[in-house]
Amino acid sequence: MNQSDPTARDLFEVLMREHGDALLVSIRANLRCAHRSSMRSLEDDIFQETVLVAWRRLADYDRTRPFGPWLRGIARLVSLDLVSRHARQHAVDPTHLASCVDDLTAHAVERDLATFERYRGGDETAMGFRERLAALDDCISRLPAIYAHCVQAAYRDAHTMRDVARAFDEQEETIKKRLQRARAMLAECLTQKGALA
Amino acid sequence: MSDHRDHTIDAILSQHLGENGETMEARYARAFAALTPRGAAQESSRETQRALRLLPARGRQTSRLVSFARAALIALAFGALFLFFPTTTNASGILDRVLAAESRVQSSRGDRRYEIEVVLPPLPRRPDEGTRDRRNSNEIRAEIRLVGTWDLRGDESRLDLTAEGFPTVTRVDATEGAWERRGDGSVRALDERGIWPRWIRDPHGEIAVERMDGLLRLVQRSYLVALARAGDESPEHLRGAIHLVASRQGDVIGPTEIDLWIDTTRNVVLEARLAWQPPALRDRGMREGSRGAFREGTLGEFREGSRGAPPAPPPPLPPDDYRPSRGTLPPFPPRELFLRRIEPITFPANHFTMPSISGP
Repeated sequence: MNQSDPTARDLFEVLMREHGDALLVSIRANLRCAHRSSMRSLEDDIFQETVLVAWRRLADYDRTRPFGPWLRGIARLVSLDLVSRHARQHAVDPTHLASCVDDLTAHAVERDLATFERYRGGDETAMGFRERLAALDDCISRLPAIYAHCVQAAYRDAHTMRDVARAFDEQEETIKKRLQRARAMLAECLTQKGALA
Repeated sequence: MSDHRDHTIDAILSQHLGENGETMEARYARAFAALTPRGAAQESSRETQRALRLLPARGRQTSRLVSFARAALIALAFGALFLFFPTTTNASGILDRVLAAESRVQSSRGDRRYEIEVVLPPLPRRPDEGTRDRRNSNEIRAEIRLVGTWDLRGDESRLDLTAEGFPTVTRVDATEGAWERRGDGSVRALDERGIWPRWIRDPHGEIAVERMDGLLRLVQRSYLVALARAGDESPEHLRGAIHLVASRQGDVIGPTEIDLWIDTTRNVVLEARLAWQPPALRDRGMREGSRGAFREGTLGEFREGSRGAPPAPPPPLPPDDYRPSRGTLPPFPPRELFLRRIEPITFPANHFTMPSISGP
């Protein structure tokens, strides 16, 4: 498949839509150092640049292998490049930023995503990323109410930690801990379902 | 739970609960728009060289002569593209080029005009208003919209602003000195330090909305910039231009977000949108010090008529305070400020020259 093939663009767009969610998850999971506000811009930059590079390198893609890991591999290289550029532009200590895209995390995240992509939830028909997330919904519904509310406020309503803390009349640290525990419970629940290794 | 697992779950939650079909579709639209031949041509030379290196591997079956001719043609095509299009797609590269172009126009004293629109938040209510007229006590105050033109030539700038139903006020920062023509036609000299509001400042010096190159430098230094081909999120006439979204970071007083739409063929800013989020700081400034300034400033003139206050040098202000000196625009930043390039434009020679002083 290469760009000169008139159907390549359509096929590429279909593949991107199929793997775009997992790509963003991978970008976010690997970018763990930047401040939330700057992270969003970096995520956007990395996503855009990855799509562009993937399109240009489409001829390199081996069709016998899964598209998702190939795409996320590109995203990883793009992340390294953009993060170091970001560090130069904003006079951030490069060692700090480099630590946020380390190989160990990248491999572990990729392993998790690969497992998640294989997850069928007992259904043998093809599933998209969004359908697989039904498993997560189920896990969220099993969380104790105090944790579930925190998760909804922080992720669905996109409130800052400070706002969530204010809404629950708690310390920011308490909310951070609560969210961390909620994520641990969700990870365990997803592992039991076989969605994570 | 391991750190990486925590990050994975965090990212999956953000994706699942924070993104929806619409936001993802907007991402795809922006990303796919950059895949057009022009978008692809804007890639870095390094990437292009990589792509070129890949070509022989695909062409091994064809004769060496054909391969050579094809490679030469492609190299020529890419060479031509580099002549016509910028060579990088990263936001800072684009900013650099626009800034260089803007600085060139500035040093050659080229004329530029922008249509300007300033959206101010509603005026604060006076403490005694509710008791004076109870019928209006629940009235929702409307935002105030000032429109006009912003003209630039070298270091000189001229702002003509009006609000609906009010005469135009002119503010000029010229080589010979700053001056103002008020709504009643009177002209007076101004202290140039107090001519512009303190809406935008950074640690490297004060930058008012009076120089496009200053604004671009501010974005370069103190904003985090993301880039996209302008799509559905942009006004129709700007689609296809490059859309930069800059988010404020660090110790700078300025807009929370700046959108720039850039014509990368000519390296000019076609349109800019500066948006301020109302911080607590602003509320404090309004409560503590803005009422006098309302009466004395341009907005005061629109609202209450000219008071003809004599020019006075602005006193030194604390760095985090929007309160103005006498005779400035409203002290608190607007909600939004739009700049739209109007071209071509040529100003008369005396466009920035102060007319003979008159008035009270």
